[in-house]
Amino acid sequence: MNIQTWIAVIMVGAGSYLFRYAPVVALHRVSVPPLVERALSYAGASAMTAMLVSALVHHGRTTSVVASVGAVCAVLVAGAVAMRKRSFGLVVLAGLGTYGAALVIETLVAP
Amino acid sequence: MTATTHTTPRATGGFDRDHVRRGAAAMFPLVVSIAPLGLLVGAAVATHPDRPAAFASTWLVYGASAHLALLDLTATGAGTAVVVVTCLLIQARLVVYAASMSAHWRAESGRFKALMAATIVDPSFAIGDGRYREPGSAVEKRSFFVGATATLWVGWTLLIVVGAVAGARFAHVAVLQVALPVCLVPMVAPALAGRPGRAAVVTAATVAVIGRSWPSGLGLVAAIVAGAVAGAIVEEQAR
Repeated sequence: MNIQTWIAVIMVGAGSYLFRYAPVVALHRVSVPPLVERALSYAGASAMTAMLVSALVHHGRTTSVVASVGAVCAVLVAGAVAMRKRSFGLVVLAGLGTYGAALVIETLVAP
Repeated sequence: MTATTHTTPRATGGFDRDHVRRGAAAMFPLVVSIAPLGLLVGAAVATHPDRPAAFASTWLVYGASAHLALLDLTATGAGTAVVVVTCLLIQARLVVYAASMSAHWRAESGRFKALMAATIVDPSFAIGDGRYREPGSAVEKRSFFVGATATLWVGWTLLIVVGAVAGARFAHVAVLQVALPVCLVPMVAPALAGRPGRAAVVTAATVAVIGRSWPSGLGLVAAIVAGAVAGAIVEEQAR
């Protein structure tokens, strides 16, 4: 058991519950500035973008050039499919399929 | 002498089974669509150095992106403060969802609010808020929300369990190395539809690249804050 991990889990859990519960019971008592409220609405997309890019950067550091390019193509293809409002499963399938194709190409051209 | 108090009238109690079922049926396709993400989180739980804490986050954090960030940062030894700030920034959107739900739950009991608030997350908000804005009685709407949110809660837990059991066996499969970024794409894509969202995404991506070598995940925190502020500013300018 790692005490630091448990502290983080409990603090994030408590904070998350506060975010969910406090506005439900106390919204009429406090007001959030409009700019902050707008910023909060973009925090989720920003967080997911930051995690996505960080994952790609980490992947690029630990794999070959072909695999790195394949990963970027996988995200772009998945993005193109997602923009057409396709299902989550189809988006993931398209992305993983693209990356799989890059790995096959790498294997075929390898000396 | 009698004291006069002004309180919001309590909603009529009880549930309508038919509308509980309708809520469950409405949520089920969403649970299926997020199955890859649930399995991915489950696999990350299975490979985490502290599996009980990683699994407990399923309910305590109850949000895929914050859960993934928590697993990633704690597994790589990031400082507790960075883990907490990063995850809470990711969860900050819940304030907006809860604020919207507060209008629908004004007449509900304190116990209902305390319990149902814990289940507020993107899919339950999307389906629940939509139903509350449609015609119908308070009992029907409450029943629908409870059916939908309970289905999500149970479904998400099952996906994580299955991912934890099966995912660890497939962790070495090469194609799954990009499962995380690919699974995040459908969650980012809707933001690209408007200019403020695009500004948020581009700014967050740029700062994430710039801060890729910053210590303890600070680059991630900076990217989230910069993206959120950029989105808000562009929206403000568009008004």
